Amino acid sequence: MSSFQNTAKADGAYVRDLGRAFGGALLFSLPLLMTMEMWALGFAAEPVRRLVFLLASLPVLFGLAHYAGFSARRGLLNNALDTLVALAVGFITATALLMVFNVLDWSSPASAVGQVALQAVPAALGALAARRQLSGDPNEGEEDQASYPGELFLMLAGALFFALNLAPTEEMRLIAYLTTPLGALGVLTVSVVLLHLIVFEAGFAGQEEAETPLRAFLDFTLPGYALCLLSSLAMLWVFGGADGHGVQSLAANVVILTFPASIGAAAARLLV
Amino acid sequence: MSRVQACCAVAGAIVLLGAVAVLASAAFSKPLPANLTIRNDDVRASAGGWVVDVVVVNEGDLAAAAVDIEGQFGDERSNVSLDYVPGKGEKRASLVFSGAQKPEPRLRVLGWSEP
Repeated sequence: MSSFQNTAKADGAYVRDLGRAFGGALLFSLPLLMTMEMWALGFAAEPVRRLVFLLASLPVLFGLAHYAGFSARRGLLNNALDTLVALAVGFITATALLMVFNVLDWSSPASAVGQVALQAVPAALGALAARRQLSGDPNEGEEDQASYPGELFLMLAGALFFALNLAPTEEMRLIAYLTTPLGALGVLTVSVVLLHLIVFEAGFAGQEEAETPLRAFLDFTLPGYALCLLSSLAMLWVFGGADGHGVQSLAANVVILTFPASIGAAAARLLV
Repeated sequence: MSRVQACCAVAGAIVLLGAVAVLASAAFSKPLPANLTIRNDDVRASAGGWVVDVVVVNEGDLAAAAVDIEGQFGDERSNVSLDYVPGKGEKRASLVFSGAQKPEPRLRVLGWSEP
């Protein structure tokens, strides 16, 4: 009887966590679910890129399950289970809302699955950041115990969390086309300066030993910005924004998208 | 581990593997290029003349973007653009003709671009 009560209690607690996961998924993915470029990319993007996007998201989601997550359970098995559950939450949220909006394309399984999978990943990301975003206690999460690579991972997650909402939009390309080379250089400088200021103010773990702003710049700002550049390039590739560009115009596109990515990376502790 | 957690994780694994299977089969098969055909679906009277509903079908695997279609009946031409026609999918559009006679237009797809 006692064992039955314990199981029932654990189930009840998990259902509450699950509710929070759906809240996080909605909070993060709603802007993307209501963005028409994402609907079209679901069937217009090359199938191999949609597949890579889904598979590449798995280690990121797993890491996020460890450092943030939507439940207090930890350990390899629980992190893996929470990653799968977050994906289920993401798929359910994306399918339900795309169906309600009547934008799902049923022409072929690859079309509909592609549309849902593309939206399910950001939704799963939101589900796994739910504990941080929706819990009453802002100190929830394991970030304080994060190692140096862990801190860099959180910066990457923050970059994705923020820039994914903007990466598929036409406006990102348009800004890159309209800006001058000098303007792009200015955006790059502002990104690095803001990243450094926010990171230094927020005080990442490990920074105690860094002490000087220069050391923090070398330890966190530079590798953090490099991660933002790489993740922006990857997002542009997935969404077809890197195709057919010369080096200069590709660099402008990446630098423009890296601006929101670096703000997300800098504010990683607040976001995830 | 709670039972709910285990059930949800199994559901997650199923949808993940299902999505990977569908996307992988699409990714590793050689896609047919967009191949568009157009057909007349309905002709109805309206305040501005006649509305001809058409269906554009894409028999290829790849989506077509900025699809321009045109109908001609006698000397009158009418055209319309579609943002996308997904692979193995179809989209509907309407052409308007202002003549008194019920039109039986000659329909054609003028062109499209890669998304």
